[in-house]
Amino acid sequence: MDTLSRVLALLAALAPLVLRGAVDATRVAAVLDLIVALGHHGDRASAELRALHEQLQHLAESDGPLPWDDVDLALADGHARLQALKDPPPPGGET
Amino acid sequence: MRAARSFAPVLALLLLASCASAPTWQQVDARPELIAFALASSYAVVQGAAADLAEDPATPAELRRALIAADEAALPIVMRLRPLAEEMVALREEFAEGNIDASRLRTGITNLDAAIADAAPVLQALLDLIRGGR
Repeated sequence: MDTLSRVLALLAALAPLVLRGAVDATRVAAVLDLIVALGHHGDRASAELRALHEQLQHLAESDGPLPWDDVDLALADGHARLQALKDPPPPGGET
Repeated sequence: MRAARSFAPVLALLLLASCASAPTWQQVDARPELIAFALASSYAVVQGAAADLAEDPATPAELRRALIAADEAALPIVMRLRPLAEEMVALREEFAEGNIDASRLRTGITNLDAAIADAAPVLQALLDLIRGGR
């Protein structure tokens, strides 16, 4: 299954919630759009998207607990990488 | 209106997807917390791409600052998804055991829906910055 097919399957996974009104369709559409956009990138994000889709499919079928700790770690890592790039405070701020 | 227009091609893609594969997605329908998980996980992917771009020495300082600021604004919103999703799971169990009524369950769904609605645009905003920087 190529990347686009995986993205399409992920969209299909989200569809029932959107179509029955459990989630605001117009807001979710933005998320679906970006997932499609990510799926077309031939870079690391695309590979991570494929892994995410496989994980979601497995989780949907297994009814097991969601690995939120992994997500939190990834979020903390990404945030730390960005924070490390912040401009240093201007000189003269300390005596 | 803009979002509604963008949803039209998505629906078309969904029709194609339904022909291309037939996964057992009924379970997803019963687990709205999966949407929150998918959204938070998607944000982590986008955030990683933002960090890659920001770490590139060729990236203009202005864009780098914008990526950092977008993540600072988005992260607290994205981080609200987990507790509400986990509350959703707990509420469903309580409801199944007859300890709470349907209105309490609906409140949990509404809260989770609101968090998803808040998180989606900040995710989109960070992605737009990345797109503009490539």
